[in-house]
Amino acid sequence: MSDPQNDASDPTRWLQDYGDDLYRYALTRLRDKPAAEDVVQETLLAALKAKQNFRGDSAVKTWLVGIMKHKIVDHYRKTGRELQSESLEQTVSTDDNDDFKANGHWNVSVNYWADPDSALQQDEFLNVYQQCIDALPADQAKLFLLKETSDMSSDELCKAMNISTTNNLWVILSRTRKRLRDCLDKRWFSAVAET
Amino acid sequence: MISCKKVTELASKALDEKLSLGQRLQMKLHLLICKGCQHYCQQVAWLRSATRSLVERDENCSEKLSEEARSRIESKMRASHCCDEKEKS
Repeated sequence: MSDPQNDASDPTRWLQDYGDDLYRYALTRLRDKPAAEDVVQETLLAALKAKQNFRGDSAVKTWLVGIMKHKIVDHYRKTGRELQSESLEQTVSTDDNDDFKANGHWNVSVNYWADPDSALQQDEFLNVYQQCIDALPADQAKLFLLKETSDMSSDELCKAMNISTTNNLWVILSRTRKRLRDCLDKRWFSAVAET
Repeated sequence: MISCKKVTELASKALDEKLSLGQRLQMKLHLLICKGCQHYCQQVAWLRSATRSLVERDENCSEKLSEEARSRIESKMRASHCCDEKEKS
């Protein structure tokens, strides 16, 4: 094992030592292989330029991941401009939900979930959750994952995803989370309760 | 009394920023008498743990940079590195 404190001076090792880790980090957040490869490249090139700023008070990998976080935000900002922002913001104006009565109270029963934490250890549960995320409209899934996996502020998120007001952001996130909750309820927790 | 629908919105917003005192009181009052919303709030907050578990699993997956991407990045890095060296000398 190389000493992580010393190999910052040797950029030729970065790709070899951390390339796959960086790639997986980006892939998890972007869900797009070519985009993840691009972000790895941009990160390493930026790191090369900023090499003298590396102070050795953190591990090289932590430093590189820090740069990568910015590159991922940049990526969203670039692609955000091409997003159909109408489709995201349409979520705000359309209200197709039968789950509430006209007075805003539940029209369905919201059941108790027994011991949800034990599901986190189960691969089948995570597969179902992944399918629930994949079933969202693509922009909603992107926004949700970006919100949950980056430290972007709400203003930055709105800019990156082309959302006009933070108020709309809260509404979209709330609808997204409700869909995910409903999906898990239907596909996992109710199904488990019945067996 | 705020509606259940409103509670679902506040439950989500509370995960992202601090609610106003008024909103927190309205939520508290509603949750005292509404079992459905109690469950909903817990479940929607718990999504965050589920997402974290999913991300952790993805980060530990066996995906690797393709050889093609690796050599492309390597040559870009070499090109950028040697230009920097030239600029210095």
